[in-house]
Amino acid sequence: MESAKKQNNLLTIFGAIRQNKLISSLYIILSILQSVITFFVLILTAKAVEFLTLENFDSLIKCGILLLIIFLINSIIGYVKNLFFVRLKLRTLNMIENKFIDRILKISNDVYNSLNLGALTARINVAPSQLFNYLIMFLDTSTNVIMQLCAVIYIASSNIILAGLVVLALILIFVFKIIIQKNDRKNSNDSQNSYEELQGKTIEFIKGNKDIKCLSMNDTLNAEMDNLLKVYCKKNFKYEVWFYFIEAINSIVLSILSCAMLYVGIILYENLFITYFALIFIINSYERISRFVNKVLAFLRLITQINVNKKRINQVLRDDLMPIDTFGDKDLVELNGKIEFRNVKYFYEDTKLNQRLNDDLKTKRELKKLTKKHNKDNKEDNNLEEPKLILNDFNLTINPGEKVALVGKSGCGKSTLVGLLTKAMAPKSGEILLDGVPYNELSEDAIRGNITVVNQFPYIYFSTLRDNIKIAKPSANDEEILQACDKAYLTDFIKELPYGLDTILGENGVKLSGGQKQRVAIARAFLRETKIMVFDESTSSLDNFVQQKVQNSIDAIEGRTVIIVAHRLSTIMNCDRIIFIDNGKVEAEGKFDELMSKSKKFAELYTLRR
Amino acid sequence: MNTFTIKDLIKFIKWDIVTLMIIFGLLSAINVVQIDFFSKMIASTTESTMDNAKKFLILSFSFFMFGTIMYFINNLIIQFISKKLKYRLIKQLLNYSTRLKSSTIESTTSGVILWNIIFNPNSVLLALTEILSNIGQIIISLVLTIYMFILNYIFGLVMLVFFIINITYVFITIKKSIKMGMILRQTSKAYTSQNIEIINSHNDIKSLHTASSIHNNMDSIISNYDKSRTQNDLYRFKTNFGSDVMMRIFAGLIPIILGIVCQQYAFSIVSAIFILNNAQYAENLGAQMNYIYRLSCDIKIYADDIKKFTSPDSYPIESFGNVNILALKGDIEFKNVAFSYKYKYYNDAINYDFDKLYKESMSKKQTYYDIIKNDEDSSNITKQVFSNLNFKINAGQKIAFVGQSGSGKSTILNLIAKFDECQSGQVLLDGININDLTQDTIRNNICMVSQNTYIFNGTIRYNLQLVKPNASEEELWSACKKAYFDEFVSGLDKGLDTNIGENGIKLSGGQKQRLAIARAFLRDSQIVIFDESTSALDNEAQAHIQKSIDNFVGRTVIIVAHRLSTIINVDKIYYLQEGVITNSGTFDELMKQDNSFKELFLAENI
Repeated sequence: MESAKKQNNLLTIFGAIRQNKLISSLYIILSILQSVITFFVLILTAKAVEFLTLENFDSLIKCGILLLIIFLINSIIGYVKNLFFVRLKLRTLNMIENKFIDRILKISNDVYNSLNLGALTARINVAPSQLFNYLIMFLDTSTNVIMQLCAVIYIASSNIILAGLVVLALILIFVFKIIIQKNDRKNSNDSQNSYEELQGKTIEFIKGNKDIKCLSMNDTLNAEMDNLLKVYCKKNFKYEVWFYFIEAINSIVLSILSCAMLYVGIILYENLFITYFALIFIINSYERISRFVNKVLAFLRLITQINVNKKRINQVLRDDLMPIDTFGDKDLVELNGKIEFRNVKYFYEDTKLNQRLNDDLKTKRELKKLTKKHNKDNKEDNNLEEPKLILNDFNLTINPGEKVALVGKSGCGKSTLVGLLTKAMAPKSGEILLDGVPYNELSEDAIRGNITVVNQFPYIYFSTLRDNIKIAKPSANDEEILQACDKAYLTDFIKELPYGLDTILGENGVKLSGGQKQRVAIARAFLRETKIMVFDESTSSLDNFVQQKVQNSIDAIEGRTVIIVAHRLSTIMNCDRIIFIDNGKVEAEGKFDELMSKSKKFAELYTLRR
Repeated sequence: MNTFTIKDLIKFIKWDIVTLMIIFGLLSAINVVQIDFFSKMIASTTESTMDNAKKFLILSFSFFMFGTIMYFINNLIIQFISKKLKYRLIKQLLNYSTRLKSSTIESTTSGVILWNIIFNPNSVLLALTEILSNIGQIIISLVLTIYMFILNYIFGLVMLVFFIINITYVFITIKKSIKMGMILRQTSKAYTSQNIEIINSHNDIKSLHTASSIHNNMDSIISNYDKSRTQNDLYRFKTNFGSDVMMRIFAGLIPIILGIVCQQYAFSIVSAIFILNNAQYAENLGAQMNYIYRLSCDIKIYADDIKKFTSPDSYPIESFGNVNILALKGDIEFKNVAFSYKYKYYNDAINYDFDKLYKESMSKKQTYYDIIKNDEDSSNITKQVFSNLNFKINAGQKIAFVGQSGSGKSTILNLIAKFDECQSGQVLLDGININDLTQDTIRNNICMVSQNTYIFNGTIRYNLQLVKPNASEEELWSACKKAYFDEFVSGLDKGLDTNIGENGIKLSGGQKQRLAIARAFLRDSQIVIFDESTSALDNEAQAHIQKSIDNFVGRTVIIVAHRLSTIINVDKIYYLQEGVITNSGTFDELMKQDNSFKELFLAENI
């Protein structure tokens, strides 16, 4: 909570207004102008009724002409106001969308590992327009409420009974608001949570479509989707109906009050306490008051909604909930490519992020109740065992220009090492040094700008092959791209494609085989040619011929530090040094033959296959 | 589900709408009575008959409260309709999406499919709900307006003229509005798709330090999105301004007309007060009709998209026959199979150059669809994989397909599992043409472990039970054991109940593959296909799984693998080169007979 306040990049309505001071204030001024005009219109209309009752038709016609002019002015003001609205929308949405993109590009892998990505997408997709809608509603409603307040004060000041009733109605409304706000908040959160869940699952459903068919998982998943959909429809229904229900109750209470007020007015007139004009005034202004009170309630509820949504949106932007990768500010001009791991420890921390996100949406009181209950339930859970260490006091030095292979059983921590290298994750203890400089001091460019990792399952974008490769180096020309493709042995494949480099590859390269995807990723790496190149199981899906060709290209890399993670023997044979990792530590290292005789476990791993 | 139409939708809620209309009628009647009582109350005060005034006051407010309750019920029904429709529509679309060919889904992005399944129906229903709740207002306005029309025909005639002008104006502007809405939908789709892609590729973005170029790319998408939003808004405001001015002029004219009418003719003052007090309803009627017309355009914009999504011509679905066989024996035969691969993709997901799209769509008579469609049609390029493929696999055999990438191995598997259909020739399962078999027959008897398998967000147990919901603890563990996955699972704190993240993000490549294999073991169907499913495993694990695969007794097993050491024990190996089976036989036979095969094997073991 406290750290949320400290952070200043969070989104708030006032922040958005502050960022667009000029436009917002012009927008507000025009809104006020409109309200003032509406006020005049009302006075004129009342006058018109009066002239009509007095059968003063000439004045009535004059009144009409005046009204006509005012209406036209109002329309023009409305149009100009809308132009400001468009500007404001453009700016706010752009600001929010950019903020989110910045954020999702930086969020730490630890967060991504424990989140439902579809739900995150849902939140990010809906949030900008939602926040903007609230911004406009806030501007509109608040100016409206203030203007109406002026009118109501004017009305109330001319009549004590009216004043008393206004105060009474307002007190009722505030009490009412306090009673309903808990439900308001809960319904809103429930409805949005269920939507996020549905969308998250739907994305999974789409992504896993082939596996669903392969394994005939249709029935189970359909039932599950059906359930989520039902919940979503139900929660949404509840949210909407609750909204109308409160509106109806409020309206009934207000009409009882208004009726009583008018009744008192009639009695007063009957007993000649007030003039006829005063009575007509009361009759004409009762609707105004009840409309005002309605607006106040709507405004109060709007604020509750804004708070709920602000919180949801800001969860994505909060450092304490969704930490981002942080970097130092030291740049490395000329990198040698020496990497040291010193006593590095790493384990998957169960951050319980989803639960924390949910808890964060609850109020303090609800939380207290929950923790009490939780404490009772999970007393044994408190003495949790030490999390399973993936890397345990890991020490390793890789020299500049060396070709090193990391070998070990799957799940032994090789990929974790790669993640630590790009600082997609940070070690729990110990440190990593690049050219003798600790990682924490280095800038993002110093680390990521000098390291290229080719992952085992690379992501291919829904765009052309050219764009997919160029992403690694936007300035590259076709010649460079083709050269990189040649090294990744993609040339033949490109020739087969109907549009060559301009062929669109499916989302996540679904149209490509695993091997083709890997080769695209390798081409990216060759295009980038950084000082440190990491190939994480990046040739596992290639057939032997292609693998050999690509391996030749990798072997031909000179003057760079190359780290290869692989199972296949042929991939690691030519490395300067093979490092065998077991139980989160370096078990043995050396050339292949040395290791075969030195380490029993290593020998086991490589003799079984023969 | 057949192709979606608005008509079906309306038919589905026929009776709800009838109920709604009755309540609307009642509501407007109540309103008229209430307003009538209220003006009578005012009249009574003028005439100083205070008892009457009090009576009418109470009556008026009682009717008002009654009206409020009816109004709530009215909203309740509307929300109920919306809920009912939303459930039905999204469910239908979900079901439809499960029937789509995999190749269809692969030709577009998950963002686009998501749009079609969730965003489009939500947008349609939002507009529909809005229309339904406004119909009530319109009916009230209409009744009052007609009443005023009856009270004074001059007033009525002026009103009519304004309505006609207004509606004509809206009618003229609407076409452009729809075109703009479609472009907006398009740019918004691109934004959603890109968002999903960025989140899913976060690891690669970091690995390649490419955040800034991704951001630039996104900037152009956002700028397109912005442009279309702005254009859309501006145009709407402009047209709204036009009709607003018209209705305002009318509103200003009312007192003038009333003044003249009352001056010239002996027109009742009470009626005049009634008209003046309620003229706003007549004014609003114009704006409301305008609004409803625009909403129905929104419906058209999104319903068209749903219609496109649900028509098999544009989004092809799988088709099956009706021969049902509970348990196949497992014979597979390819007879003169020819297959060409189609390079098709949907332009829906592409970030179009907004200015170009806008210009083309606005200036020509073309709609957005025509432009997209032309592009899509030209993307329909085919590439032949096989011209004449023949082989026969007997039930219970273990078979491997070997060949360089691009030689057609995966295509064969896709044809067997019916993810694709051959253009000529026949694929026979147990001697029956695969096109005649039902979906259940094929899917329940064939199980495939693909090379990049998808793991769902949830626990290990959940992922396993997706395949067999009522699997016992024992079955789960034995499947894990066969996939050589049990050691890893039992080492976890929470065992089978460990959450492994979306797409198994917390697992290593090898662990993911083993989980996928465990699913296949649990499924235990007659034909099992392994498509490069052990590529990420270390040698030890691979050797173990090899043994487990050997344990598939009596099942037809088909393996595609690059690492030839994994297929040494199979009964028969088909060696594929560029879509032709050049050789077949056991491993030893091929090693002796086929030099090219031998080279391929040796390349692995330098």
